[in-house]
Amino acid sequence: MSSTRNLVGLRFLILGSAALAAGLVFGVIGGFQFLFPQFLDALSFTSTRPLHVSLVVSWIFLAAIGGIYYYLPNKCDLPLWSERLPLWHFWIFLVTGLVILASYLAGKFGGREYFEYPAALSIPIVASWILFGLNYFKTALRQAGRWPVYYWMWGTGIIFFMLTFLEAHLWLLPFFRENMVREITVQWKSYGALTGSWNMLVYGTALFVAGRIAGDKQLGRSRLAYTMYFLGLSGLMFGWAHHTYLVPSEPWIRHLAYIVSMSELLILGKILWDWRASLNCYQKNVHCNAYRFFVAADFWVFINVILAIIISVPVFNLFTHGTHITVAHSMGTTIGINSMILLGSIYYVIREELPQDIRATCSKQIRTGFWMTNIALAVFFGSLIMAGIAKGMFEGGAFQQMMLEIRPYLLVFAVSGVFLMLGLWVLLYNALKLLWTALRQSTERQSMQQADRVAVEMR
Amino acid sequence: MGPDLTNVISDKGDAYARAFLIAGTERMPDFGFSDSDMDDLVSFLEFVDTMGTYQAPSYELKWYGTVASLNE
Repeated sequence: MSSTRNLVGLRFLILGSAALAAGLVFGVIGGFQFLFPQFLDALSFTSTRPLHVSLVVSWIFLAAIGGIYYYLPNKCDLPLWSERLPLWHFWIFLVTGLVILASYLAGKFGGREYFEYPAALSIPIVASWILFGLNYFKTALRQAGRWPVYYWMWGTGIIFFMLTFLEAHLWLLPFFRENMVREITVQWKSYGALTGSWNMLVYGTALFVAGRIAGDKQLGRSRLAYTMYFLGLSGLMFGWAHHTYLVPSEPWIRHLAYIVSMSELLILGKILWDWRASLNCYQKNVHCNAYRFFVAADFWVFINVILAIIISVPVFNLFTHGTHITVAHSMGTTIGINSMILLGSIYYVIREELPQDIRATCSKQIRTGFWMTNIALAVFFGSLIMAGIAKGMFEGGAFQQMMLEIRPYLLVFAVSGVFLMLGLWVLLYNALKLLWTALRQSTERQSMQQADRVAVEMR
Repeated sequence: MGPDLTNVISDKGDAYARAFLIAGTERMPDFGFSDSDMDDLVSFLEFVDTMGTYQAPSYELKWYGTVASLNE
């Protein structure tokens, strides 16, 4: 039964879904602007790119945070330490996010890549994250006995996000800013670790939901799961090396980082594969949507592992760095793995909140959206790989000539991006509608419970 | 995925960079930079240029998959 405790989790999930739906629009516009620079020139590519990146990264964080705020009180019997702080967290994040979007639209920048907004706006983000971290640890520490692995993952993700986010702002100090190599080294190192921190939040969510669907609480306490956690942790701390390719670095650091990062993904694939085999027909059907997204995440884990292993070989890396193959890798992991897991988590929450609602189970529309998304993603991913190979193999000539050569692949990329957006919109539209229904019903139920309590007291 | 501009000033000169910034290209629109914006951008490119050389001009690929620079 829903109570006040879970409402804020649903709000974060709604906001995250809306952020992704909007972020996709700017992604599609940016894709076409890359091909046709005059396309929608009222909104420059210098604005569409950060708008797209900020909104889709917000989706990953908001969906992961919403899951944590929802799961702890409602599925782990751990009432939140504070019910007020998550509301502060929500509103600070929302208002700051809107100011950041407005500053991009107005062409007001002042930061560095990925955080191009005026640096002062990072202060409320840090403040809201402190509220989240404080509430998380105060709540999770109520857990008696040994923590399941997803508690460790969430906690680690929270701490490391804070550290790496602050690190990404070291350029504010003249010591870093006055030396380009030093500044870029620190920036890219921090971005690598930042990705590791959100992977901790997302993979923790994957293990939690997979265990709940299977009715197997031991999944989060298995040796394999803890191995994955420690590999992920070492990946987070050392897996950033390949992000510093622009600057001189010792080759062994890069190789070690890739090995660590690959092992982490392989183990996640193994866990999801074993979990899939352990489910019976009933469990697959009850959570048919979440199940489907997790199977897709499993597929993309393997595809991305293959690509990552190939681009980690220095000889191949020499040709692929700075090409669209790197973009294919980041799109494959953020859409294929992270977003599939988070959509699975959202549809798991929907099924739990609306068990009687037929639309919360498998519908034709959701199935269509799912297949459209994954097929479009495969074409999108493939076209980036082809463009990257063509760019990597291009010899001599001007940048313009190379761009003309890869133009057909970029056209396929831009068009498949439209279908990817449409497929995800179908999934997000259904998710938003159902989450809103769940939020409304929970609110009404709370009001009725409160009215009942008042009536009893008056008697 | 734009072109690498680390050494554009020493390779092509600041007039070349300014020409691109003023006119744009088929792949890059004219952003309508002011003179002051342009000076700032060229100063930045000059600063970046002093930091080193982006790519090893010649290298050797080893059979076991590593890359060795031949310029050192």
